[in-house]
Amino acid sequence: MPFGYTGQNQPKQTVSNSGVFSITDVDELQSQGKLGGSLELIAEQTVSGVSAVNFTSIKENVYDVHFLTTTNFNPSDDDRGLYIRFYENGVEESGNVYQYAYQYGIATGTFGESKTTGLDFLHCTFNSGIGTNEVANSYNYFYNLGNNVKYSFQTMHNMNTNTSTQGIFAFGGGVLPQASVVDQIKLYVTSGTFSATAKLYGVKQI
Amino acid sequence: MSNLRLINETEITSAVNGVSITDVFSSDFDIYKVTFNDLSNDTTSANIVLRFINSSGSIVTASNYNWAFMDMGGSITFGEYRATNSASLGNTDAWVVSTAVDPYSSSAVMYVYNPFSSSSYSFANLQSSGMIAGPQSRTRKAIGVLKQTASMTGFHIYQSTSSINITTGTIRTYGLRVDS
Repeated sequence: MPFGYTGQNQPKQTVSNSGVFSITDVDELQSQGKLGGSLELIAEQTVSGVSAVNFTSIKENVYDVHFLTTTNFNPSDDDRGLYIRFYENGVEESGNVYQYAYQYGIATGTFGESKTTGLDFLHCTFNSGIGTNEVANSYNYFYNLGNNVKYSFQTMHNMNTNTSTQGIFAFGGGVLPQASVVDQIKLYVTSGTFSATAKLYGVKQI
Repeated sequence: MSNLRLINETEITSAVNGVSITDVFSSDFDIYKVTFNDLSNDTTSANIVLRFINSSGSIVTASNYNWAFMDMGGSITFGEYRATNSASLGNTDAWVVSTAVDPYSSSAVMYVYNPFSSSSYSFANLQSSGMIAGPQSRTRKAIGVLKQTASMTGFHIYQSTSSINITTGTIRTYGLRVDS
């Protein structure tokens, strides 16, 4: 399959054309969700030496499913993870109201549960170390952030190396059980600083 | 142009026991991403399961599904659920998610592998997050397979209890671009 629209052999292309789209064609295809790609990069941030980074414009009124990747998270303090908090109408929710459940496993053989019905964060990654190659990576999905009558949900899958450079996986999810509009996402550490690259995407809808 | 292409969007706006997403799997793609957003139902707690739809348009009800998942929650001991020779992905245990009455709801992302291929089984994995009555948070990680070397063109999700209906939800199916 060729890269890009050429007017031939495109999946689900419903409009017959010569390969050159008019503005009307574009409008019509876009309204059907059949123009362009379906994953929009909303913002990308590469940070170092900070204790927190915020996504302040997340297009919560456009997307009901968001996708967040974090790579090469490296804390300045040993044995720290990257946490998530939401902002509701511009106000950081820092209360012990988040619920989550994650299954984790360490390459040495230890498996366990991490869960709560009331803490002030969600996990973006599990704890990593400060040694060489001790970093964490994860992807997250968020649901209903912009819906003021729905709770905001998260799923997460993490892979990192801990303070002994042992591999760790963790997966699971969490929820901010409050019907509210979430309009910012904060990534932070509870002590010291960190470096990481974080990318926030919107998953396209019609 | 990104590598993810929206094929179908289906919104549930009235109470139905199940919904079929048809004609979404084709030779255009090998891997599909499906998002289930804001699924809720009309009773306290219920389970949504999944069956594939074959190229004849029939829902596959044969006992050829194998599946397993880890069920997790903020206030429960995590549990392992599994089945072989099942008639659906999930049965009395939810495949997609456990759901509850609005405003409690559940959402998930599922990947489907090789559904259209007539020489391969159809595989899927899924990760979900939601909240059920209590209220209790629920999340799960699941894998499943339909052990039929037949071409599938869609899928059907439904409440495993026939008297229960799905009342809200949006289901979107995307293809992952293939270059050849």
